[in-house]
Amino acid sequence: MRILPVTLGFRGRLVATMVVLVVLVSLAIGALFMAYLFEEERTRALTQLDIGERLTEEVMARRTNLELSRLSVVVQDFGFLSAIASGDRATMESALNNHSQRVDAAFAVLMNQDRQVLASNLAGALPELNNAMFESAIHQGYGRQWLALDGQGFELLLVPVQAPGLRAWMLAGFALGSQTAGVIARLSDTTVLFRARSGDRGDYQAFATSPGVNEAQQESLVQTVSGERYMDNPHYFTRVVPLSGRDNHLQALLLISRDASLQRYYQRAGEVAMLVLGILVAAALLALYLARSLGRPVLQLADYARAVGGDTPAEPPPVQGSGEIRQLNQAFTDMVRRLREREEQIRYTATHDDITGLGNRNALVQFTRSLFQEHRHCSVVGLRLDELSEINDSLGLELGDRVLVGMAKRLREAFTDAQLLARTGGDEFLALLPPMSSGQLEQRALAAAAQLRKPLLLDSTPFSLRISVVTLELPEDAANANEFRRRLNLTFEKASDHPDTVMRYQPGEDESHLRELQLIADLHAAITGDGLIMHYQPKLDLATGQLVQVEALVRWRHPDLGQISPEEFIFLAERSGQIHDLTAHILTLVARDARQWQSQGLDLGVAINLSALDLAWRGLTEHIAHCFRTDEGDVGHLTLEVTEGAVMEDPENAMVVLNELRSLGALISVDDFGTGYSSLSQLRRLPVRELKIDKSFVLNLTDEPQDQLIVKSTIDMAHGLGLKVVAEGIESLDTWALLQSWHCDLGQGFALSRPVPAADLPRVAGELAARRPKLMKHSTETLS
Amino acid sequence: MIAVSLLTLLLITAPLGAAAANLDILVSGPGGPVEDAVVFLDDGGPAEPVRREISQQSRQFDPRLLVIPAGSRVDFPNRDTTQHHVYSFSPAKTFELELYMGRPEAPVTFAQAGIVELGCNIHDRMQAFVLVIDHSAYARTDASGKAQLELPSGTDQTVSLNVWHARLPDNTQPLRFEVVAGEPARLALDLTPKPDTDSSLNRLQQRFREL
Repeated sequence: MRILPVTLGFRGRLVATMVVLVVLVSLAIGALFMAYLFEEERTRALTQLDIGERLTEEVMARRTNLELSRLSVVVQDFGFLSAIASGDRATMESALNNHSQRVDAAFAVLMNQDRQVLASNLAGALPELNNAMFESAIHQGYGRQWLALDGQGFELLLVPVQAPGLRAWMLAGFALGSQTAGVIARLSDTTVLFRARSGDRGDYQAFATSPGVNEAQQESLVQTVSGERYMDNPHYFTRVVPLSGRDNHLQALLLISRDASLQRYYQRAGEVAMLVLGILVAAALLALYLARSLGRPVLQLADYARAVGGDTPAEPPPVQGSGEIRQLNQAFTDMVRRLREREEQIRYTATHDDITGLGNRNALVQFTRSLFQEHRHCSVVGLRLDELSEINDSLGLELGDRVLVGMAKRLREAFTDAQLLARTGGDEFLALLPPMSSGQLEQRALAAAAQLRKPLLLDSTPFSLRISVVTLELPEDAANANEFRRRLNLTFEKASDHPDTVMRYQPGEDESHLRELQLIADLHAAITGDGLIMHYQPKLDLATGQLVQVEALVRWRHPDLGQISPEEFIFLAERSGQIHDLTAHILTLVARDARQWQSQGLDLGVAINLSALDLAWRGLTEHIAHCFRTDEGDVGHLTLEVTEGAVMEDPENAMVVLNELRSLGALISVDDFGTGYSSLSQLRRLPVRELKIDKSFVLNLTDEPQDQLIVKSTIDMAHGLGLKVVAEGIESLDTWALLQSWHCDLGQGFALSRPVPAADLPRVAGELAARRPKLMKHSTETLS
Repeated sequence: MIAVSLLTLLLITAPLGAAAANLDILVSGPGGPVEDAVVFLDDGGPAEPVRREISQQSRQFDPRLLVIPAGSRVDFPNRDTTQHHVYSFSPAKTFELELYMGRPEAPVTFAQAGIVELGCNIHDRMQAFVLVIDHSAYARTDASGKAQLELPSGTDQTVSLNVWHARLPDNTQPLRFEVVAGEPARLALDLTPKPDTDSSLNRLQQRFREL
């Protein structure tokens, strides 16, 4: 059904064109032929009448000759002559009767030399005989005259009777009868009618006809006035043949039935129509055959094209037809072959790495898709060249490519049983192996890694490459392509921190990774949507026991995951580039809270932690000024805590920023002091007012003599440099007392107060004030 | 052709009182002098009947023209190997000798003057004429068309001449001429053409043959 319209279109047009052409030509020829036929029928009738006319004359002449012959015998008959010679009228008349019957004459008259009637068997009077007949009889041997007598036609023949001693005339009248008409009719294939009239005017009377003349028509024919050779008659083609010379008393009418001619014309027309019809049918069949023989290869090619377009493999149709079709077929086949080649090439390019010839990311995607769809098992070994980008950068891409090629070669050797070897990233290779046990897989991976880590000789230079190796098992370690990709990357990241091992993906790693991703995504909403709240931990002056400052600590309660530790989400904020937004938000919140508690009569400084990345934020100084500038134009009471590491990462820039902040009036405190690699000389140059000893030294201070030494000496050193010292992580009053004794300037910790929301600060401040005597006493007690 | 030469009457001035005179006659036709024309007067001296014969030989009459006085007898001996049937329907002498061989027993007597045409009933080509004249004043032209008649004495001035020839259009009776005695008579005749020598078929027969 689908190819039907095509068939109709193509074959239909061809057939229609041919048939229409044939119809036109046939109709034209047919019509012409019909016209010719019609004219020919007419001409034929007229020609036949011409023939009939000549034939009539000939038949009449022969008839006359026959009659003359008979007469000549009669007039030489001795008995007849004797009867005449007898001179006896009765004898002569009886002889005349007798002999005229012999020659079939209707009547006969015997005359003497002086044309006086000797004997006659004519009933009526002798008609007037013209002299010419006698002249003709004298000179030519006979005279002839036509005579219409009593509505009948007669041929009068006059012959001399000459015998020794006897001279007379014999006149014989021969009736013109239906027999003669029949003879002429038969010979000329016409209908013959004799007609006569008595006088020069008047109506003709038919007196003899050939068989088959319709009486009614005969009437109309006979009535037609004489004279013309042709007569108009609705039923007949006619021809008038005058018999009797000028007087036209006697005529023969030759008739050809128009109906018969018409009948013949119709018959021939029918035959022509049948012929045309036959030609049409033949042409249609021929056209159909041509259309089929032309159309079939085309349709086959169309089917072939459709099959090629589809996914089903198709065979080119058998070559048949000739010339153009064969060429078309050939061209088509060539095109399909080239298409396939190109498609193959494209597919190859699409699924292969053009440097190493291994599979590429697409190949991996395809492979894993089918793998997961079919729930097959597979072991994966992944390798990452950790230093490829360095090689590319320092030695050029070309060498990097050669490294890749070399690696690919080794991979092929190492994993001959691989279902897929692919280069799935710039420096990443995967080998997908048949499923095997974890132990086996690790062995294979280790062996391969050992092989790959061997120095690679390029231009006689050995390259040793650091290679991270990971293994996964599918589908145990990943249930779909996304998981696979993600967990692979995770494992690679992990592996890069652990060189020279084979890192196996551990279940759950991906989940924490996902949690991080979610946090990163939700952090932004928390920042902009007041999801973050600030807690403040009081800092007490160790010398007076007075609450002088609070440290602002950000808290985030995630709607789904609950409380998120600041370390976690700040780290994520740093990694996801949201740290500036976060810091700015915190600064805003703290400034708001600070004004709040100041308005409540609490005169407290506030310390805010800055990330290392904040120091690289150009807008930091301006934002802090915007948030905290007081009416006096400075930001007194503001302490900014920066980690040791943050400062040391880029001391130059840190110094610029810190100096700006210092000039605003902010105090700079070095957070987590003692955990990093602080350069004291650097520290000295910085506008730092304060060191904050890391809580790891403080937490167990009372039990750790080393910590005591470190803390005490740090305090001494700081004081020597003119810096104040803050201790955090004070969880016992003993620690508090120790620090008091060492003249540490500020302390904070659970032993004093947990971080509290801003709203609770007045209450906490009251409680701390209430505890102050106890705190001061305790220190005195401890020290004493 | 049909221009008829009017007969010319040449008056021959005969010397008055002459006892006897000869009349010279010249007969001519369309083709020149006419032989075997018979010229005779209305009357003349008495003539003795004679006995002649017209034989049939090689299917021809011989002679084909016979001039005899009235009362003469003619024999018709058949010298052919076939029979003949000699007859005549001429009013002067109607007779019939039915099929016979050899010489008929009796001759035919031509008692009445007139022109008798003879034929054979079974041989249409055979034709002969017998001119029966009841006196002796007749003559027959020779090959040069000449003939001489002896006029009876006392004949003066004009003479009535009868001329007959077989090829006259109407050969059943003689033509009559008035001539002047004493002068040569030149007679012009209108004759039908001579039939072919080997065929004396009449026109009807010719026509019949053509069919």
